[in-house]
Amino acid sequence: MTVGPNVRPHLHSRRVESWIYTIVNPLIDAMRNEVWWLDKRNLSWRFYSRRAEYIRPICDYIEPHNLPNLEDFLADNETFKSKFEGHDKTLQIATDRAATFFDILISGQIFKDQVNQSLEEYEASGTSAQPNKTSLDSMKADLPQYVAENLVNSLDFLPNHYTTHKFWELFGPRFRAQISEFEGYKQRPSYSMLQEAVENLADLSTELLRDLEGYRLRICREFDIPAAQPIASASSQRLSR
Amino acid sequence: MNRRLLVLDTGPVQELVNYQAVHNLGFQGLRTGLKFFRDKEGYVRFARFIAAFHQKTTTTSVIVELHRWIQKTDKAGQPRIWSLVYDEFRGMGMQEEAIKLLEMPKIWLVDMARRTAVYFVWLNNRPY
Repeated sequence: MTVGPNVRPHLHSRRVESWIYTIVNPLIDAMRNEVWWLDKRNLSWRFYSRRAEYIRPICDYIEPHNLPNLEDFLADNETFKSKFEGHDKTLQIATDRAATFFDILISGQIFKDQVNQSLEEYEASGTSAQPNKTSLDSMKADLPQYVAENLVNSLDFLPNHYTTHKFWELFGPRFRAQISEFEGYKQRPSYSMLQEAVENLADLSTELLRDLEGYRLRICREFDIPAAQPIASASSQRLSR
Repeated sequence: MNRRLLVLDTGPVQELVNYQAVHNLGFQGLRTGLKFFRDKEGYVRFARFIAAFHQKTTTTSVIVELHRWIQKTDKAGQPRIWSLVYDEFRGMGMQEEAIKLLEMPKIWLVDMARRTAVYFVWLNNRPY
């Protein structure tokens, strides 16, 4: 830890405690969750918002009233500043590439034809052969967007209660196998570029998680503070995490 | 099982979102709020039950109750919980009905004072 000019926090420092409880712990939780999503190469990107819904910039993981603690933490721990910026920049690149790949898919005729053909096959198949098969008539117009979103997020399956669960179970493997055919010749690298960005983000989140866990252990030992906020002082706080 | 319409009250929707928040977002503090889905088996069974219905619907009052619940969680996690709610509604093709007080038979208002589920009886009796 780089401590500011002529100032060194003392043992049991409340300032250092606040870094652990309001910055480091929430970010460790967030990075563990990011690693969980990204291990599956799922960016949680949505076409309606055109962003990753469950993987967020670092600031979004910090309670708004604790943002001054983040500034204070970064002032004395400059190495994390570049790591946080790197995370947010890599997330932005992955999000942009997801949008590019999605747009290429949606604008391609081969992709549209494949969605229509799959839908026809799906609707033609009897319900006795496909129990729990839901009609997709009401979402016919949006189906290409849902399929493209699933491909962006490398989805293998959808929860049972989702309308497109059966459709994706039946036709998802076919769409995944044909990704390179859906891309135009000139834009061919768009899927591999997205995959590369998601892998970079996964590596960065894993590295940041390791760094934060190491930092917490070292600081807790050095300043003799517990890694979790004592129950009495935490009980006044809200739920979650 | 091949049924037509499922009317969902706050409890099941909240349980679905709560389960996802614990297992997909790592919000361990919300684990105590899980009443029925203690393990994945319970969640999957309920998901299959929902899947048996062609249409799913709820009322705007359920959104209000979800809002009240989400307001009690950490502020930084709230946008992600709302994304879960949005994903669940979008995923299951949930319809949303606004029940106007003045459209309800006046006699039912007596029941409303005792239980909000009267909304759902009303909803279930409407033609689809």
